[in-house]
Amino acid sequence: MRFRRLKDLLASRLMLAVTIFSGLLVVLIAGGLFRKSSPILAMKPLSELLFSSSWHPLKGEFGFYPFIMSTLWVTGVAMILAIPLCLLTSIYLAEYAPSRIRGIIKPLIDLLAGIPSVVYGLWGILFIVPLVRNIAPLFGSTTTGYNVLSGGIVLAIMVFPVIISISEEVIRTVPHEMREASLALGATRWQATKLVVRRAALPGIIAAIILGFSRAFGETMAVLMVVGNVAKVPSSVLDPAYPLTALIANNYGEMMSMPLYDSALLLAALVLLILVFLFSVGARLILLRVERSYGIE
Amino acid sequence: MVLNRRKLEASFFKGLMIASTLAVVGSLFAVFFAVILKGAPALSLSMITEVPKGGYYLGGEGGILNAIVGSLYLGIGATALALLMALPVALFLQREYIGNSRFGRLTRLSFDVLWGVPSIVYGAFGFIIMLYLGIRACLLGGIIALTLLELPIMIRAMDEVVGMVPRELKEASYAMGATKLETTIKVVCRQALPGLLTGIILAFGRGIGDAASILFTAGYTDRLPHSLFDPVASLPLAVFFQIGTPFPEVQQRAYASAFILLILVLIISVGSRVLTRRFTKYVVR
Amino acid sequence: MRKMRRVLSGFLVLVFLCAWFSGCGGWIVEGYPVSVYTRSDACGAAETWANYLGDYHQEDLGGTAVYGDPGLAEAVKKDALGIGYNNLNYAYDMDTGKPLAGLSVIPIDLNENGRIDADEDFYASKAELVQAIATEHYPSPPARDLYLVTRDEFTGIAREFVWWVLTDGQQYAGEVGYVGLAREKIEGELSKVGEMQPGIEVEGVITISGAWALYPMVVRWAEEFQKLHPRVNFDISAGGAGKGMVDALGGMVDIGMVSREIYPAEIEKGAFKVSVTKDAVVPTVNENNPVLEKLVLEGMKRQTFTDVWITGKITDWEDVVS
Repeated sequence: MRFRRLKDLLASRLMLAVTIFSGLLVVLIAGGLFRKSSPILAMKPLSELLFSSSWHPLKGEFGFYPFIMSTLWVTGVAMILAIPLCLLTSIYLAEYAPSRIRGIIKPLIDLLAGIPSVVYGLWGILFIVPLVRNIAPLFGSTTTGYNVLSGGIVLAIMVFPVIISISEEVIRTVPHEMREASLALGATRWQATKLVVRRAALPGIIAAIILGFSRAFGETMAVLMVVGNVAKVPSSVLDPAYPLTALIANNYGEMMSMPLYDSALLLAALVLLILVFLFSVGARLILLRVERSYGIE
Repeated sequence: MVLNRRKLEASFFKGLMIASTLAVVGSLFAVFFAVILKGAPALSLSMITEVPKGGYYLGGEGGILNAIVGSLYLGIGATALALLMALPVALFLQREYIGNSRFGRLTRLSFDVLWGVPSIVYGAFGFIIMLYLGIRACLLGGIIALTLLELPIMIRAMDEVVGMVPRELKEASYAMGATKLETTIKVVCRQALPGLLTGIILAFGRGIGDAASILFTAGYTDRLPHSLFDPVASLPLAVFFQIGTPFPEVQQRAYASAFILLILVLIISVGSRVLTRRFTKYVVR
Repeated sequence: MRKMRRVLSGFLVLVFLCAWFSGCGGWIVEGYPVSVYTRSDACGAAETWANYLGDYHQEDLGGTAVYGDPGLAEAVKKDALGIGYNNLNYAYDMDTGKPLAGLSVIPIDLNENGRIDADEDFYASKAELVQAIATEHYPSPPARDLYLVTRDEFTGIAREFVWWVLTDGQQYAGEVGYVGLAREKIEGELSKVGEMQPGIEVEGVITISGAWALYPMVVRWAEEFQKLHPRVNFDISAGGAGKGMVDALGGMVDIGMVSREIYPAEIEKGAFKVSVTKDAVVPTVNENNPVLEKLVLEGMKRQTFTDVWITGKITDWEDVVS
């Protein structure tokens, strides 16, 4: 008996150690990045780094504002495109689709979740960029096709499987009673679905959307191939953009070549980390709020 | 009257839903087929069985065995390392250990952050570590960066599954006098096994397809790696380098490489589904 | 009923707006706006091109930034109004020696007299252009030396390789599409590399990474070197001049391929360079460009390039030609 207790204790301690280590990884990474960006933080005021639009590393100007805005623009467009489509699709799959169709489409979407990002990038260059370039004149402007919209479309498609698989699951697991109660009261099937989604499935759906946002936010290669890489704050979706992730990937090569450039790029990585942190905390708070007001088991 | 309006609304939305499903599935298929169509002409047996011979990137002979093997090494190594850490953590996050305590919630938050961190940040961090340790771009560097990437994915997936194990099952085990450890291993793990496997496969798939994290850390070579400290090729980077040559035949090979990567991921996905179904027989319904 | 009418009328308004916009679209866009392209990855081609335009650097070049040399070529190939630049080996077809299908090389009006004279006209084939670079008819920049770089100094088999490149290797330059170095230059570079020690075992691995520009040449050199020393293996990867520099200075590779000038900050970190061959960056347009005929006859002046890429003063193709 004592031996089993001992094993139990040891195991607990070990698991605690591993958990503490893994939990501290965030801190380690933040610390490492901070240390490496300290040269540039020491030289330039934080307000200039974050809010200046002037990016001329050779002249010593490091304004990250265009990149931060680009990241937000591209991710925003991706979510605006993805959320309605994913919601509609998951509702369809969960509530309306005959089980045979569901049985085919759902595994397909899961399978397609594994497509690597380089493939999306290649495909984006082949199809989305010319598509956007040809459609733009219909709306009164010209574009090379390498812009926020192309980046957003590619990202949205990347994010579809993430959001759909979770949302569909969540909607399906809502207990029958809710639907049946509203149907019994004479609602159409659609009205019953609306009720179920708005009340019971909302926290799960919001969680799915948050996950999708994170994935879109953190994507590097696919986006850099189609987004234009121009260091200016975008003023419309047909403008090129330059997200932070693309900045780091493209300019890795200049790291040793200019003073402060390596710490600037690592500062960009740190900013990304901080943004993700703020977003995670915010997302958790939103989730708590939603769960509390729509509190259904 | 009112019923007609409601019916109209219902059919309008039903149409919209079908349209959007078609749009989603259609676009995902478009990606898949574009790669197949562009890459199929360049696909051949030598592509997957040979390493690049001299001048391969200029149109010469050879294949991408180096990248296939390299990606497998990187993926398996990183997944194994991540598994070693993710499983204990996911189990520890159960209610009886630290689940809902402040410590538990804080840890979960830190994993949320890790999940959302862009892979290029892991690449940059890996690069810093490598400079610090004085090692060159090699298999080990790539594995470290990929492990960091896969860890939160695995933890999240496993945490979900482990949390779904019914409380009654665990309580029954405790009632019979089992310790926490014994319950965890013999009951929880068994019950959650299909889900755990899915989590592992998910992380593996994500890791093998990622380019940003190994861009700086894994290096590249035309040969098969013989040690942890050799640079190693990978499929995503192979795609990049082949698309980066001035020769259309080689660019076509890039699509073929992307296709091979896709097939690999697909095999793993399907394989995991089959395995999951096999192991579901251990699960208590 | 009222709601249905509202929905229907809203829908009709939407249809009308779409029709109006698609009709109007064609009239709003006027002229031939120039679609400027540049490189997104830190590379020698962009830096060299910027150097040619004046005291500028890659970061000063405007335009949509695309990844990689072939990426830029593809972008210009697909955009009838596009303008870009490429390393000459990526602008010309390797087999035929003619400009890539879909691309046209813009002649540079060197004497700025508004037309391309006979002695400025050497863009029809790669061989002609290479000749012009060798005889210095094509200016430097945008022609430039290509370097092999390492940290502090070349040692071991890497050194053997570099020595060979500077001596026997030079004969292959012309075939692949590069310019061999002049004799005095070679001697200068050899003295930098230092005296060779006899009797070194030439076996092992040489790791090289860097500029797309040098890549085809280095691959060929590696091939020929391996024929003489079969026990040597090469790991060569391209990723841009910048990556070559970072990898070389970080000790990640033995040799970095660099296609631009070295910065002072890099020299401080120990960058040691050796010139090994020459090539050039050339400006490119789409072969369906609306003003192509005039462009080929008149060429473009350096100031015009600057106004397209740097100052942004010229935004329409009609302003580029007379």
